[in-house]
Amino acid sequence: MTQASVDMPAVTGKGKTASGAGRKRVRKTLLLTAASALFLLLLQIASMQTPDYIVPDVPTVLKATWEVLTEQGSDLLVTLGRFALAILASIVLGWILGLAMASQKVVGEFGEAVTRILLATPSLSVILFAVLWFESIETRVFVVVCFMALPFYIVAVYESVKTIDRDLVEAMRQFRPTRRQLFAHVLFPHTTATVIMTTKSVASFSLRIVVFSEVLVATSGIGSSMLKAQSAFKVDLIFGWTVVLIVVNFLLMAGLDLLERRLLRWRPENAVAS
Amino acid sequence: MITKNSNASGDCVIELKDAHVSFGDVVAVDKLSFQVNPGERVAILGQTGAGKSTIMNMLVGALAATSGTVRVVGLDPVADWHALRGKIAVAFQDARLLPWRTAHANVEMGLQFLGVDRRKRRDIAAEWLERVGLGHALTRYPHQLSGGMRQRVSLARALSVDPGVVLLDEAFSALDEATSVQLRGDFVRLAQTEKFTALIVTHSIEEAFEIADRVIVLGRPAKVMATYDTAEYDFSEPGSFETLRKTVSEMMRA
Repeated sequence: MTQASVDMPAVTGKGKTASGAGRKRVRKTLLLTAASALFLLLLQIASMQTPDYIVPDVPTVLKATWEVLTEQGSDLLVTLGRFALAILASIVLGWILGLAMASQKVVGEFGEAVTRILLATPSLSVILFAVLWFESIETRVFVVVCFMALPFYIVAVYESVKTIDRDLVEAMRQFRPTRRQLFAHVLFPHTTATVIMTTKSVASFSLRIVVFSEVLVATSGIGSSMLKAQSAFKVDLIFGWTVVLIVVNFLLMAGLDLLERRLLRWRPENAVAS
Repeated sequence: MITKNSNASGDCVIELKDAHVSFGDVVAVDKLSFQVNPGERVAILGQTGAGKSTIMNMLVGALAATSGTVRVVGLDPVADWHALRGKIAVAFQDARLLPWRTAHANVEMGLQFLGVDRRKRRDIAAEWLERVGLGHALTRYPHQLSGGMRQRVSLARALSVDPGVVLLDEAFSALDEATSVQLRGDFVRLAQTEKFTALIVTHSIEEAFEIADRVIVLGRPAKVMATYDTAEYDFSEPGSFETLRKTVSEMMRA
């Protein structure tokens, strides 16, 4: 079969757009570096006007950052472990519940009402209930983070299935697939994009919830360590942990961006960015 | 055993007998009867709202006739849903490709649903993409393909399962004229070499007479107004097609 010029690909010059995306990333990194430098400068200026126990100078903060990383690294690992476990559980549970809600209209509408209540519940109430109801520290943190993150995944997956292109499903049904095949090859990949995008929105917030929960319910982890530093008036350590948390957040976002570019490379915006 | 282009009774491949569809008081298909023989290409020509989509939905098993019978290779598309697996394939107006799959993986889709093993289906999909002129675009995602290329992938996906019956649902109408003409020609060549039976639903008079052996003109609601055997017409004489077009067009509007 011959092919005429009218069938030329719609997207050409991928290299050009890819280098454009690369320049955009470099620009973002430079701006971030400039903003960080500005913060450090402001910190240094503030430290000159205030005693060390209120705002320490930049070298002290950097020294404290190194100290918390080398001497209290286990607290960082504990927090990251709790975060990873809770997020993974939320993803899996959210996926299952979101799909279950989408399978039946009544279940979906009822589930939507339930998740609305969950989303409206204050974080502090959830943390206090977790303290009252669960003895284990790990269970408390896990429950709090899941409670906060899970509704976002449920709603995202549910909405994603609801908005799937029916024509696409119809096109697949011409081959008369089983329900399992339709789920595995159409619904699951379709909702993957949603789950990744939700994780990008929820991850940073969830990490903060983990630390916040640790302040109130745990005896280990970054939150607990920050509370101890506050009790001992070690402001430099609080600044040190803050720097660590900011860096962890950036790394987390960068990792998720990379995951998005890899797994969602089929999307036009990611295809030109990869 | 039912093989390609054969059916349980050994007669026609597609058969509608007094097929009637109504939605409340609205009649979409009015006791429609026609047959499509093995290896034949039949066009169903009708205006928007003539019930063409309803006919298509009945044939793929998405809709049951209110009364009358619908048979594809001797089977009821609704009641014998699973028995028709792999025997019927459709190319739609828009390509409807899975955006997260490459052109190659999209063509593999039908074969995957039919349980063809991985290596075999990869080979078949690559071969079909080659045959529709997209051997160079195996790894491209749908958004990296032009409209014509996407439609070729859709056609390759439908034909890769080696169906006895191919349905085209306005498959070329969303394309520009040059691409549409080219794809129509390609489709006819494929139908002749692969010897499948085709039912083409379209509102384009040119397309119907170019592709089909037989053209069934529908009125509104869907009922047969006229049937044309395209082999009997010679359009080489200037104005002959225009005269036919005018007649058919008036019939469709009636």
